[in-house]
Amino acid sequence: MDGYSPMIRRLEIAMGTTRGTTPVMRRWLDRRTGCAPVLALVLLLFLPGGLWAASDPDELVVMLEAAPKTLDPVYATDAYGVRIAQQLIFEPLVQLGDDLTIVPALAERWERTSPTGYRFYLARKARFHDGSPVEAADVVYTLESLMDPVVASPYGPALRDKIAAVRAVDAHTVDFELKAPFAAFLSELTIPIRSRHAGKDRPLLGSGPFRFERRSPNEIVLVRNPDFHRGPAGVERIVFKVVKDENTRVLKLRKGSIDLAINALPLDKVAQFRQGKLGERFTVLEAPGLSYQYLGFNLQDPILSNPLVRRAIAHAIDVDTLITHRQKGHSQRATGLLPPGSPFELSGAESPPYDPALAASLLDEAGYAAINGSRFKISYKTSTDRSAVIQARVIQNDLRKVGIEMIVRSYEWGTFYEDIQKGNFQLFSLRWVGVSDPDFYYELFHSSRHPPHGRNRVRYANPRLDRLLEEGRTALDEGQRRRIYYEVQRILARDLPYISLWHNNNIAVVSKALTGFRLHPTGGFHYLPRVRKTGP
Amino acid sequence: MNGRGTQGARRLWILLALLGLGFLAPGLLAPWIAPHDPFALDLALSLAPPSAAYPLGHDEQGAGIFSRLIYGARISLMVGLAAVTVSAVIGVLLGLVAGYLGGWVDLFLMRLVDVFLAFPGLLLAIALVAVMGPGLTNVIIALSALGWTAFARLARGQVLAVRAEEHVLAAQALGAGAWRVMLRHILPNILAPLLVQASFAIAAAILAEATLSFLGLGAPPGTPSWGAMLSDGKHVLLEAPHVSIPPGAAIMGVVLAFNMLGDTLGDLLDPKRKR
Repeated sequence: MDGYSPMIRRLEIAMGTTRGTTPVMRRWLDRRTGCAPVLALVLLLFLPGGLWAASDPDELVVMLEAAPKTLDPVYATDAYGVRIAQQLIFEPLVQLGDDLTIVPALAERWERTSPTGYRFYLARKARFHDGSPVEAADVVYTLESLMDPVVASPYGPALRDKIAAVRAVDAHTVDFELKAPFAAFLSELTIPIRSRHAGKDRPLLGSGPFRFERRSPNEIVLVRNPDFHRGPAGVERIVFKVVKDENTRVLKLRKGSIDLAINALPLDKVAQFRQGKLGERFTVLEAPGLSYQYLGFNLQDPILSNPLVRRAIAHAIDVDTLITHRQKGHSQRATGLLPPGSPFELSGAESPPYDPALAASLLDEAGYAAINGSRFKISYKTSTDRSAVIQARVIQNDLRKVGIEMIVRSYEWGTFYEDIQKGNFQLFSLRWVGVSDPDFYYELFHSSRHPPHGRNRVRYANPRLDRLLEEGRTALDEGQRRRIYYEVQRILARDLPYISLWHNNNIAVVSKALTGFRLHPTGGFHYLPRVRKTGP
Repeated sequence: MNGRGTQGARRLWILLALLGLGFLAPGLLAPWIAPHDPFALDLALSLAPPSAAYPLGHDEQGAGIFSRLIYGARISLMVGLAAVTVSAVIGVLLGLVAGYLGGWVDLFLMRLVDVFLAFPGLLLAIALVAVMGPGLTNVIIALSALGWTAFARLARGQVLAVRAEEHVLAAQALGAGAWRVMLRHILPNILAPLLVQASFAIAAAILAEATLSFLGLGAPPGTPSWGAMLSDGKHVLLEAPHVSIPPGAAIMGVVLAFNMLGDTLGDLLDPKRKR
């Protein structure tokens, strides 16, 4: 016949029967052969362009959930901005390895010269994208500019606290002098090194495996740096596409216009990429990650300052059911902040098991007897994120069973986050990402780190824990450090300023056309330079 | 009574019976009618389809949709009645004063109404709730802050017509005070159009509450508000349409019924109106 698709015919019928159609129009529509090309053209215009986007073997298309604010490593703080700058455009002195240890990057090796001194030896072949060699002076320049209060980098204060001086010994050797011994120092050095010649007009001149090419609101394009000192990357270009809506993300991936999505899909939409037709086109990689979902208490609240109440709440929440049904099993039950497999993780630690009866008796003991089934009211703040709200409702339901009336208040992200930082909350749940070194405990629970000076938002204060955390910072002996953090974990498990919920797995949906991709524990882009693409 | 009257009256009774049985009764008697606790969740039953025990199935959190629908009537009823009562009391009082006193009072109040009406209603409600924070009380306040204008304008117009009637002049001649004339002699004579307006206003308030809750600005999460239920279902529309259809149908039914009630009342109470 005349090559009609059923869809075109349906559309035509729908148009023909529209009440407003004029007789002339209808006659025109009735001439099927005449209108077919027109309708086909209309359809072509509305069909998503990606259908024709030939899969280019030189181009790796990676999906982002949101556009990074900036790629400038001096100011980038959001996850995507940091990852693209640190792992692709620039190169730091050292990187976090797969096993959570520190591995070489620009620095081929390093040594500790004194309890407060470090010496780094730079890779001699490393070059910036303009051809100039990466030298010790660039490292000095990078650190000094970050620490300069005038530059106002968000990384400035933490570096100023710790670093006394950075000196170039020769072109490829650089010395760091710290103000005091700091055990986690190396993990703070994943800072992208910038060229001292770049100046203000070339903020994205790096030495990493990719050069910055261009960006638009929904796209960032990087091209291969052929002179990368550890060998050129496997693909010519990486195109990051920003897709904000989660359903659109699923559809785009299904359609085939995206090669790789890391942690970008709703958890209940992951399984479909493992089976059937989609399973033939995609591989789903899943591995434990460094994120930590927790429930935070306001410890200055009259009710929640009582440890019995906190323990009761911990026993009242059925975390395993949440993991099975809401996380669809893509998470591991957490016993503490540190990721599973961390050498500092206290083995044998257990989270308070789900036990509503015990919770009720703890609340009785705390002096909150149930009157008409209700003991007290608390509020739980959350963002408007759908999963976060559902999680809140499930916790609300669990607490109601033990007589705690929990009111869920959901706010737009900015308001919610500001309230949490200000301490204007009773209960909330958030997630820390990229936790690897136990020194993070200092930031979260040391009494000197109450906002606005740090992130002890629950306002925990315990002199004994303070002392341990201070010792942990300066203890340079690995065994001693472990023993300190084991004790820290024991204290926190007893005091429960947080209830540990789960560690999210990293999940990557990878096109079968890609080879060489691996999941890094941070869920980052460390392995993109090794990816190769074989045909469509 | 003529034929039009009886037909109109029959329609009125049918509508009242429908609203009474389908909306008022469930709303008022929710705790006794609902087969299950609307707040109880069971994640294992997430999105379960309708069954004998749960006639409308479960939502994503595993709560029974039928019971939530019944409790939802209560929220719609409460917000509808509260917002319209507050709007009507404020609006009618100001309308009476403006219409009866006239002069600069009238001028001032009516320009104020103009200012309020110049804003797109829903947008203003969203802005108000965003400033005051989400919650049903704030929804009622926001809807009342907008709703009074319609009542004020209508009341003022009616007062202008009734003010010159002889029984009003007689009351004034006998020395009755302004409030007495307004409340005893004018108000009873302008009630009919206000009642019609109230019926439309309830429909509008219920719809507005559903809209605000749909946008996450209404009832706190977990409250069985129809708008919020509809919003919950939006994300699983393809997999589980049984989550969003019942609240959607309920909103449509109730809003339609109140609008028809307003129409029917208007026909019955207005002798000049022809069908």
